[in-house]
Amino acid sequence: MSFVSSLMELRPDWIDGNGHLNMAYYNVLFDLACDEAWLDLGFGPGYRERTGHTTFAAEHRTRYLRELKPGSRVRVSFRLLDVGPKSFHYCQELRHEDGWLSATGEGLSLHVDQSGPRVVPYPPEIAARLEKMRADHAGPPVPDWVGSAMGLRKG
Amino acid sequence: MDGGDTVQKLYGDYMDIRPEWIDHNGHLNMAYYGVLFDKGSSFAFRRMGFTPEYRKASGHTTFEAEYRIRYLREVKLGDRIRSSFQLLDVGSRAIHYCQELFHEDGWIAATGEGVNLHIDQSGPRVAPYPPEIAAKLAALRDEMKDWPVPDWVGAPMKVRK
Repeated sequence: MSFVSSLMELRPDWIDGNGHLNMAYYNVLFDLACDEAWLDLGFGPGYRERTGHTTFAAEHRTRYLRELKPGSRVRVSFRLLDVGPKSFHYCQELRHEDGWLSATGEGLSLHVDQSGPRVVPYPPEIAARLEKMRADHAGPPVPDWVGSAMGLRKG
Repeated sequence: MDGGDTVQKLYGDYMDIRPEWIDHNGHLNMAYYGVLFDKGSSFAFRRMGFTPEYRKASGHTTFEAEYRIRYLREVKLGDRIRSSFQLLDVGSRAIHYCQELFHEDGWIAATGEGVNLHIDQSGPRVAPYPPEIAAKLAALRDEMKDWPVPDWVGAPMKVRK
């Protein structure tokens, strides 16, 4: 079972000239959902203050599937796909409260010692939480859009 | 010949970082790199003919299909950033392009890669470009046809073990 965020509302200043959620602000919603999932992983504000370590995004990819109009309310899932000693790979689904899929996200997150900043291994207690979440999220097939290359349909 | 000064780029204007885009790590939050890529590409979209006037007169617009960001270096409040734009491929109803966010000191903060669709807003549905837009796309693509494609375009994401 993937993690699912709280219900989130679109802000009026996120709407663009097309009258829908601007592409850039989908990533704000994906990131806000990560903030919630991070609490389960032990990366809350206290972790940063106590250890001087934090997470940086290395990469994020969004596929835009359906427009979101002003007033829409959404939830974003978070599924841990793969865990390395210093980074993890995850995917997300952004759904309208009525259940339909509006966008997908795929990301890589790094563990960072802010005194560098440099990428460093997770401490054992975080590594254990990551492994537990990965095991909890395992089972269903990895979505076919994970890892797919971008390009144009011709014709 | 692959020296940095021989690489051709098309750049938009410099952009400032807003204080509300800075997160608890004291740097530009990941989500707002996307805002810079979007704002930083608008000069190129206007040049391709996608102006507010076009949207109003034709009932057509552009929607993003996909966008991918690679975060290379932190951006702090007070930094000034501009975006490059490179058209990689042109279809009858979509374009594939890439961008880089450059700090004013010359280093790259992030890369972006996107697919953008032409949309008839009465659907909304994907629709072919009209001839005048297709001509502008072909002209811009022709200008860049010999520019090297960055090696990160199309690369899959994975964890280093």
